[in-house]
Amino acid sequence: MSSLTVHVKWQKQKFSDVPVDTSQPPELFKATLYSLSGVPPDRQKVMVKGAVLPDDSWSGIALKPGATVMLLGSAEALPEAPATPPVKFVEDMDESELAKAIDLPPGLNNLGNTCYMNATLQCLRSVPELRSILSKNRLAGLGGAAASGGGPEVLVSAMSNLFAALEKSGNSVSPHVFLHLMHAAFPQFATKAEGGVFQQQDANECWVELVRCLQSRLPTTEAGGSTDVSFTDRYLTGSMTCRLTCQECGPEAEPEVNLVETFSQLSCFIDKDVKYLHTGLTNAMKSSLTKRCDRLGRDAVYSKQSKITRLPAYLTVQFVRFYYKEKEQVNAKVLKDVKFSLTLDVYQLCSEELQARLKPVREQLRRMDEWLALQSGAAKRRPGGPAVAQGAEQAATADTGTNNASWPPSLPPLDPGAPPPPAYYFEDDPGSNASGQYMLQAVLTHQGRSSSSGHYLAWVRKADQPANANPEEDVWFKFDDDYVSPVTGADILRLSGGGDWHCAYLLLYGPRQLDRDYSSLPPPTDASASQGGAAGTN
Amino acid sequence: MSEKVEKTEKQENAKANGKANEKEAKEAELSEEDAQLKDELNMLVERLQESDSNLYKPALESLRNLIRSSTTSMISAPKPLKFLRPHYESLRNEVYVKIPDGPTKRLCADIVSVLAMTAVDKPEFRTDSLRYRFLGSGEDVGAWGHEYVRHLTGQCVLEWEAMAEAEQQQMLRQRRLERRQQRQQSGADSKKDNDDNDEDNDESGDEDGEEPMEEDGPAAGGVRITRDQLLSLCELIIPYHMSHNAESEAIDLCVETGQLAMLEKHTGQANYQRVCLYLTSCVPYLPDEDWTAVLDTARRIYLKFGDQGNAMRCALKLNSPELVSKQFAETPDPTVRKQLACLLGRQQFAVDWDEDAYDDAELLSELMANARLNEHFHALGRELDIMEPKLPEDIYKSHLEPTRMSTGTVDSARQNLASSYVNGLVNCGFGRDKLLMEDDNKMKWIYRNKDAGMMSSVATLGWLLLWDVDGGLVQIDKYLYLQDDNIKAGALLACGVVNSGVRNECEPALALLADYVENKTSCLNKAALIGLGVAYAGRGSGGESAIAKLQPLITEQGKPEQAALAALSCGVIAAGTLHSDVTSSILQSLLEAPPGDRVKPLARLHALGLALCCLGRQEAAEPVLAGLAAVEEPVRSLARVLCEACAYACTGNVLKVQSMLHLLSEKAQEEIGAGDAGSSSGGGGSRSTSTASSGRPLENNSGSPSAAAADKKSSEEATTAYAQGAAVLGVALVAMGEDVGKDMAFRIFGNLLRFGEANIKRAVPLALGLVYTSNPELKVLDLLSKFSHDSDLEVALSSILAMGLCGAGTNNARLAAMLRQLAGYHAKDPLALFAVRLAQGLTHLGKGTLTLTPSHSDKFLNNPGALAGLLAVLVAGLDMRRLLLASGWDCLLFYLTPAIQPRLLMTFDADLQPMQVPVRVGQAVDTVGQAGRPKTITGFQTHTTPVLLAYGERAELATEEYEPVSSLPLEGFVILRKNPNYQA
Repeated sequence: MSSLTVHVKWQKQKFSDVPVDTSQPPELFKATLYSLSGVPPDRQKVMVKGAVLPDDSWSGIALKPGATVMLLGSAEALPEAPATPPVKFVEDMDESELAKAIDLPPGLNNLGNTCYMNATLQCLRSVPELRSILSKNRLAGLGGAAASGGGPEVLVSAMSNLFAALEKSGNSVSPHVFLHLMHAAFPQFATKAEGGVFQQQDANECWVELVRCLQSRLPTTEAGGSTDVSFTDRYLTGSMTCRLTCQECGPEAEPEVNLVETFSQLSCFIDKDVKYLHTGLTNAMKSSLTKRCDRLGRDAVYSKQSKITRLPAYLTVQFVRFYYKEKEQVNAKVLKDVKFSLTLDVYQLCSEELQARLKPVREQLRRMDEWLALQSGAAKRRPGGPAVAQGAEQAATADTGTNNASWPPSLPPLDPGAPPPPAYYFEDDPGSNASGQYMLQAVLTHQGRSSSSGHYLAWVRKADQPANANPEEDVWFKFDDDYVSPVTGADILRLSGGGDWHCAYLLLYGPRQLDRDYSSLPPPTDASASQGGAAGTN
Repeated sequence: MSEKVEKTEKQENAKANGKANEKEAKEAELSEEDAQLKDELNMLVERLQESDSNLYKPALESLRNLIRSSTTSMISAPKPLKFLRPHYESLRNEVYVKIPDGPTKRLCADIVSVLAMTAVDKPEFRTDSLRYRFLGSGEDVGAWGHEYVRHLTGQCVLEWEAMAEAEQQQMLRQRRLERRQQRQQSGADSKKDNDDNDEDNDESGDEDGEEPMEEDGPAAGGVRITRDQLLSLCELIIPYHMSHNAESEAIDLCVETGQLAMLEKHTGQANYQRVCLYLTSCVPYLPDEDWTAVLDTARRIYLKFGDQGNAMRCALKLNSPELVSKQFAETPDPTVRKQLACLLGRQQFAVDWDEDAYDDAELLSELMANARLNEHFHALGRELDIMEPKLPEDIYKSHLEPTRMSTGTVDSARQNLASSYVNGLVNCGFGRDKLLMEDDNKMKWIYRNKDAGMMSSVATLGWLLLWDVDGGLVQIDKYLYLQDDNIKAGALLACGVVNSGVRNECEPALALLADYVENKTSCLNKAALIGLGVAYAGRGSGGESAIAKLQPLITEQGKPEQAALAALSCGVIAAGTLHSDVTSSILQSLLEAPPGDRVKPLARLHALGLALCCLGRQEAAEPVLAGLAAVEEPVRSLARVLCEACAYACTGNVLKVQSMLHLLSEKAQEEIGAGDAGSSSGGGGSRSTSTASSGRPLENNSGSPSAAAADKKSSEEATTAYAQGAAVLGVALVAMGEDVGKDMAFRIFGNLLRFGEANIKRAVPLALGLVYTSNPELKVLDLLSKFSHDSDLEVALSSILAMGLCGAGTNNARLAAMLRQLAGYHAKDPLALFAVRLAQGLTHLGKGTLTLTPSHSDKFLNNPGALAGLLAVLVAGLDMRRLLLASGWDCLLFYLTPAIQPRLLMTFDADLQPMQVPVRVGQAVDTVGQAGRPKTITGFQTHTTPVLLAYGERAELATEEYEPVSSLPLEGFVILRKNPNYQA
């Protein structure tokens, strides 16, 4: 009774009447199964009534003739661990690693109604040139040298120290020193309410003072070694010409008065027909003032028409949301909704000479936009592969003439030896903007009903990310003092006011940059035509 | 006849003397016809009151004619009765008495009996209809109309109860006597004669004391009614009810008087379904001892009329292997037998049957083993075109979440683990996914999990390949050869999970897992223990060999985790069997456990294992409860509550719910010093009240609390707190059986959430999840959604998980939106986010084709394995942070597997080839106790099988061409045959 037949089930198959000789070692049976199923014996698990057949003996296995036995196993290769290095999990990281991994910039602790200062500092810190110049100055020992001087010099060095601390830390930083020195330099910020708590201040005032402070005390050194141009003048200040015309005499009657003015902020006055930032800016370029007219010999109303002649790399726009209410003696706030966008083009506000100079770079930016639109459209149409990689591959094959896929046309691969993309500034004027086009990079918002109450926040765009057509994909950080959280570009657009939610007070626009030199590239429509033609010949 | 009318009339009469004018005015309102009738009746009564006995008979006869000929309506009493009412007493006490015996007297008795309907509000006349009925001529019971029969029915019941009470008192008296006798015998042997005298005296004394009550009846009615008389009347009444569309009254009478056999006799082909439906629906409202008898009657009636399917349902509900086996063997039609096999497979009921007796034994065993569940489920998937696997992100839809974290680049072990679970749950049973089984990145995802997370990730393969024993194990087998212990453990667990709910004669789960149950490596050991529990859940005798492997581990010392999981798995396997080895070893382990282990979360699992053995066994579980008396607190209270709740699971037993609520109303402080008081006796209700009451005086006495007292106090608080969470689940468990109980439980839970202590609040959401499993009612979701934002994280966690359970497998859009919002709300809290993800996965369980509810067959039966699995997860959920969601313990979630079932309706022909027929699917309507052929569904839509059935939905065939072979509810797998009467 040692020889019998059983049925063997293997996956969905069934081998009927397989002979078994239980007087022989099980290996023999396994070999039979190997010949039937192709599963090597060492990968076989033979199961009979809740037990696995051991390799060496039939002990504990009661086989009956005609019983069904289950064979488990496959000839497939065993899965292997991936070659990638082990994953570092959030749970295993300490706090600074975490901040690094998530790339959340550190916040600033609120030292008692200092959110206006924190917000201002965070916005200013988004200017990379300011960061680098401050750290250079610190290394150059300016901080130490100026520390003895007191006043604005000290404040600048404190700022550079503070920024350095923020650079290093994963956690939030308490700006004690800076606050103290700022109070010393600008006593108007040190007013205290009852109970000895510092009062809330107007963030724009703080902004203006800090920028002024940087103007006087922070020289830039890189441009031709001359130290006389201050940082503020170079990067944050523009200039405009103003033509004054006496309204009563008319333009012909009197020679126009041309003035040159510098500005560190453009103001957007909010009146009832201003619904968009651009309207507000355009309105501000035309104003009227009363001054003595020589011809009439008395005061007359002059209209003032301004044209920008120099654009700073970083353009600050202020929404003039606060006005002084005599009756209540507060800086009341206009809550009106004024929409702004993530990009700004001030071409229309520039003088004709400047417009002419802006044109070449604008042309390149336009071409970059066309390419980007094409790429993102293609990516949408063909999900599954990153558009750029795919494009590069196609371009490569198109060169060899074997490719017949022609749409979408792709950017030619970037030659590693190619010259860097054109700078955003005019070569003879570092710190200027050569295109008139800006991208929003920081927003300072206010929530509340008057400038000396409520809460100020800074919203800063994450650095080093490409331009996104979809604001949902744009990553921003919300700096609520020490609490920093990621938000999207769409959230930023919601800061336009119109309610009691945070509404934008100051906007900081940075220059749009080219990612490559587009002057040598054909416009995408031509490129596609040529590629399509190549495909047609194949 | 409406009693209200009677009452107001009576009040008027009472005032009548003072307000004669009013009465006159009222009389004036009578129409001419009525006045005439009234005069005539008064005249007849006067004639009866006169002494001329010759006139009695004609007067009575005309009275009878007048009464019988009057028509009645629902809202007003028949006129003759109304006008005769003032004369009732004189007719009864004077006229009847003076008439000499003979037909005339009997006729008078008839009249009095009928008129007694108008006098039921006086206690002394309460059962007069019945009494005079027996004195009367005894003619056809229906001759006086339906209302009269109803009165008789009601009075029968009253009389029957009075008799039962009297008998009980008699018995008490007897017992008292015996006691006294014993006392006296032991006290004084010498005066034997006196004893006897005393006895007599006592007896007479007692009789004297109570006699007046006894005498009351006969004195008033003039008759003593015997049981036989009552029964003979019942014999007349019941057929009358049965033939007059009043089955419910007949059944009530039978149930009250215990004459179920009579019911069986008088039920006919025409109304047996209505009768049985009423009977089976009464079950939750009956006292413990009656319900089995009632259910058995229903079963026999079904059998009498050849309704094998429903008879089998009753047998299953009775949980009687003998009846089930017997009926299975005696079913004549092989096609019906196949249908029964399907039912048995769904209930996972192990039947002893002779395989050689049938030609189609292989097919039958396949059906009972659910071997083709996977195949049919795939067919459903293809029909609905949902085979394409889904990614977790397809479920999260995180672009719709209100706040979005841009942390995509960093891997969080917990969130990846959540994604693994979601992936497993969503693609459950479909055998395909995009994370674990796609060829190129098989291992990549596994390695994006950490330690124990790897194990769970691999184990979700079991969900993906659920029920596919032949094809699935091969794909899991590969991982068993790997070196990494976590992956290996996951593969082991997956092997167990795949086999859940499916039997295979080779028992692969046992073969693969048995070697690891004592493995030194913690994760392998854990996986094997859980895997076996899941694979053999609810299998009862079929899991005997698995129990044999696990049971010795329960009592093993020094390995608490292993022992706890072994106990739990044994309980899940032996659910509802009262397996003696398992219960005794768990009791032993509870007795022997070192005191330090008590409040540890693992002790809950021990207690639950014990409780699961008692599942649905009602009084039969008493010995286990008694055995718990020796266990030390706090585990004793916990185990007692769990055992009681499990024993009465799904019965809707109100007394048990009350005893649980007692425990819940106890404040922890009141327990001080009461530890010893509640040690011994009785059921839960008496226990909790006794501890509470004995606790108070002690508390008052202890003026200066010493350190020891404080210690004790804290431990007592822990005791109550420990048991209270379980008691909340207990309420849910008992109440989940029927709809009224469910609604009551919902209200109770609302109050507990508002006013309960923290530990109670934490358990309530879980209890709601149990009662409303896979049944996302809006009111429940709203409540849970509110508490998912609670500041107490544990409350929030359990609410979130409960939301998942409520919506399990429904794809409920509203719930999905709620959870998405929660994901944003809890974005900062990894544990809560983990729970939200799990809930999202559960909501989309099997892409909305599966359910977790243990009830099936029109909510009539509960699958014990499924219930046990759900309970295992919920009881572990009482301690979210230390147990269910704790890292390394999340694999307890796999105990949900036995509860996973497709919520489909699939139709087959007699050869079990799938067939497509049109069906109407709509909301089920309760038709219990309704006459005629009421609609059973409402708001239906017509589909073609296979279709999905949501909770509370019912299907009916929309074609005359086919008919189901049995009259089982159309659920799961249904076999159809050609309708012989069909004409195209």
